[in-house]
Amino acid sequence: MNNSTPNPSGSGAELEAGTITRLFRLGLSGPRRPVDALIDRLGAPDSEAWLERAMERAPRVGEIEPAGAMLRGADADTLSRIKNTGKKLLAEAGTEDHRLTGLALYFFAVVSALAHHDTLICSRTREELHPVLLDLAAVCPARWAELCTKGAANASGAG
Amino acid sequence: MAKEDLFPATRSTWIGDQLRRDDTGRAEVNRHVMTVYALPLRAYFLGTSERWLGDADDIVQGFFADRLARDDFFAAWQQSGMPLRRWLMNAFCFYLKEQRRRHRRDNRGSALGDDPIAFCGDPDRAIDRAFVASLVQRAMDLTREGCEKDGMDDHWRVFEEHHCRARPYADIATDLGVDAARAAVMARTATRRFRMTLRELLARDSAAAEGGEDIDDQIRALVEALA
Repeated sequence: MNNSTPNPSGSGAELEAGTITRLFRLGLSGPRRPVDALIDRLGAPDSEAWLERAMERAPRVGEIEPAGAMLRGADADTLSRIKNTGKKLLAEAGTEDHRLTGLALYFFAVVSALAHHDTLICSRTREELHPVLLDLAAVCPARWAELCTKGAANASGAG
Repeated sequence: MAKEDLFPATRSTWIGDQLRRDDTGRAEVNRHVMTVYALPLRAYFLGTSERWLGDADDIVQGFFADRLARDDFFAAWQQSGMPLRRWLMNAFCFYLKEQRRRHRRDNRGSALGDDPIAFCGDPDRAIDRAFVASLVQRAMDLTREGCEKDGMDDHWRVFEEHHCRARPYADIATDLGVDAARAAVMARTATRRFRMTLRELLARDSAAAEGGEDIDDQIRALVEALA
C-alpha cells in the first residue's frame, strides 16, 4: 500500500496511512455500555413514538410529569428525584421496555441538570458523560437531541 | 446446479444470502468483490516477481472476469473457511501462474518453468494493509451516499472535515453556521453510520456465519498489521 490512498469523497485529496488507521479504528464498538440499549432503541425508525409512549407511562414524581420537567428544566432537586425514579424502574423492570424507560428517565434527568443548570446529579464524571450525551444526541428526536447537545456542550466545558 | 446446492443454507453470510437470492444477488456480490478487493490484489501483484505479466489493473480485472464467472467459486471459498481476502490471494496466485504459462506458450522460445511466485516482503501483510485501505474507502463511499440520500450532507461534511482533515469542530461549525456542540453531534451521527457500514463490510470477508470471530478482534488484529 502506498502511504496515501485516493479519497473516495471525490474531493481529490488523498488519505494518509495514519488517517486510514484512525478511520479504521472508528469501526471498534468497544465494550457495550448500559446506555447502548437505550441508544439502539432511540436509533430505531419509530423512536419518537416509542419515547413519547415511554414518557407517558413513566411514573410521576409527586405531581410532576417527568418529560415536561426534564425538557423545561425543573430545579436540580426535582431532576434528581426523576433520576432516582429511573434507577428504581431500571432495577425492578420486568420487561425490556420498562428497563429502557428507566434508562431514559435516568439519563435525560442527568442531561437536563447539565443542560439547564450545568450541574452533575450523578456519580459519573463530565468526561465520562460527554461521549454518552453525544451518542444520545445523535439518535434522539429533535427536542431531546437539543437538550442532549446542550448537556454535552456543558459536559465538555464548551457550553 | 441449483443455487441452494452451491451455497449451504446453514451458513448465513451476506455473500451466501446474495448468491441464493437471484442473478441480481450474484451481480451484487461481484460488484462488492471487485470494489473492495481490487486494491489488495493490485498491491499483491505489484509485490510479486510476475509484474512483467502486464498492467496491474488489467491483470486484476482479468482475474475477476475469469474467476467470478465460475458458479462454484464462492462455495469453494466458504468450504475453505478462509477470510475472503486470503482465498482471493490464493486464487489470484493460481491465475498468475496460468497467465505465466500462457505467456510462455505464446513465446515458444522460453522455457516452460513453473516456479512458485516470489513476493518481495510479507504478502499477507501487504494484502491486509491494502484491504484496510480499501474497506475504509468503501465504507466512506457508502456512508456518504447514505447521508446524502437522507439529506444529511452536512453531517457527512463534518465527519470528513474532522476525521480526514483533522479540523476542530469549532472551525467546521463556523463554516456551516451551527455551534460547535451541534457539529460534534452531527459528526457522531455520521460516525455511527460509518462504524456500522465498516463492520458490515468487514463481516463479509469471513466465511463463517455472523462474521466469524468478533469484529472488534478482527479490527484490532488488522490495526496491528498496519503498524
